[in-house]
Amino acid sequence: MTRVSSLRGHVDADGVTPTGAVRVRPAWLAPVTVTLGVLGLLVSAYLTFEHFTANATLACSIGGVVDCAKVTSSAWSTFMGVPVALLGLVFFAVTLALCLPSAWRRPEGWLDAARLAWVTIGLGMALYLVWAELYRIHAICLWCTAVHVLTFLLWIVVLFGQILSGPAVEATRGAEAE
Amino acid sequence: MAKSNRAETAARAAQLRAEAARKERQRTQVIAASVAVVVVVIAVIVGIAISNRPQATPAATGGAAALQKLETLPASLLDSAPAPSPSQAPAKLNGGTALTQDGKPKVLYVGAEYCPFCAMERWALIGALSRFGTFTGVTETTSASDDVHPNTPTFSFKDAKFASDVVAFEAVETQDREKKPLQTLEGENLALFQKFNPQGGIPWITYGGTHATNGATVDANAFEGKTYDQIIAGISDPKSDIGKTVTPAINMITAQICAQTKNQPANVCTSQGVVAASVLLKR
Repeated sequence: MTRVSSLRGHVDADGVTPTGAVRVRPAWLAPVTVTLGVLGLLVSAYLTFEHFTANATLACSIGGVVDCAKVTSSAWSTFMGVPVALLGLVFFAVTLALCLPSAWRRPEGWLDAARLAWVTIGLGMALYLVWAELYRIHAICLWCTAVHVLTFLLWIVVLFGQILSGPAVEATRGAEAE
Repeated sequence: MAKSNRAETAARAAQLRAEAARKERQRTQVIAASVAVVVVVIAVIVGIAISNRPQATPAATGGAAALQKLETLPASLLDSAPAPSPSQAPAKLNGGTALTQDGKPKVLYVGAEYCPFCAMERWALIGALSRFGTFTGVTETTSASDDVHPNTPTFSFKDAKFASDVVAFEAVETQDREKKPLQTLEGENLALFQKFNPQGGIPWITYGGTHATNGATVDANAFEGKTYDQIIAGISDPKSDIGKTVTPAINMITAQICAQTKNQPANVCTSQGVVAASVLLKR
């Protein structure tokens, strides 16, 4: 899975990555997370646009179990007064920033924990909204479901990508391993 | 030389032990992460399966007690209600003429049992009309399960009768909670509805044929997920979310009806909450 020879790596006794040392990442991690982040950003941008234009051009069936307008115009379309579509946009923008190749190469040890915590919060929000669709609104929004699936995939990829990352190595050697 | 070799061998062995420990940690983390993924997937699948189970009509319990309290709200409670917002005031109907029944101004309600916004508006309407007379035949029900704000606890006017010395009331529930046809809007009522509400939105309530509201005048979000007990408790508490929207709506409707009844009965129409609401009336 990982392309690094882990014998070269080292982490301080307290688990903090030494200054200048970076974890060697699986080769697929950055491109997959960036792709998922971009897709999520596009769908969230579309949903945000529709939210602020009263679903004027929302492409989705109505009147059945799948009814995007019913979901996006429901009382559950805002969270603490903020449109959830906008929250999704912010979520994917931050996620994308955290998953850029340059971000994956950064040596700060806390970044992995922050990234995982961020996508876990996103997953929790997605599960909350799925619950609202199933038990409160009684309708499914396909665009929202796309966002939920992308969030779930991002969580899985970040989770396993970070676990499968090699130990911290000095930046120059890390670069060689890449 | 031999000493140097021993040191290198020891270092190498330590490195191998550390690597083995890291591999073991990684293996444990992969297993834990896999379990977490499986738990999330199973939770979603179970959630979807449960939500798809056919459900019986939700029991509308507590409605009778709530109705009894709604029909006898203390004047002091309504006087302490927050002032209504301008959006709660009925609009003046351009070209509207007096709508009467038995010589009394008539309040005409057009709605449906499935309709969640009708469900919410009935709370305010019953609260207001009960200050002018007495209801009989009001039954408890909930709005549709498959619409927005599903299963909102409310009452049906299908078999309702209203007795009052100063105002008449007629209700037409056009569809039941399954959205099947129920009562027919016809004659003068139909003509009024089509003339002043061509888009056909409900609830539509005209006060004496000269003023009307289209849609709920209460905040729908305040009702979300509430039971009969919670709604009536909220109405009884002017500081609650429901109290902040329903009691002002009751005063607003009361003020509008008072404008039609020439301020009869006086004790209702000169009460503090009604007088405060009357400044918003569209003259």
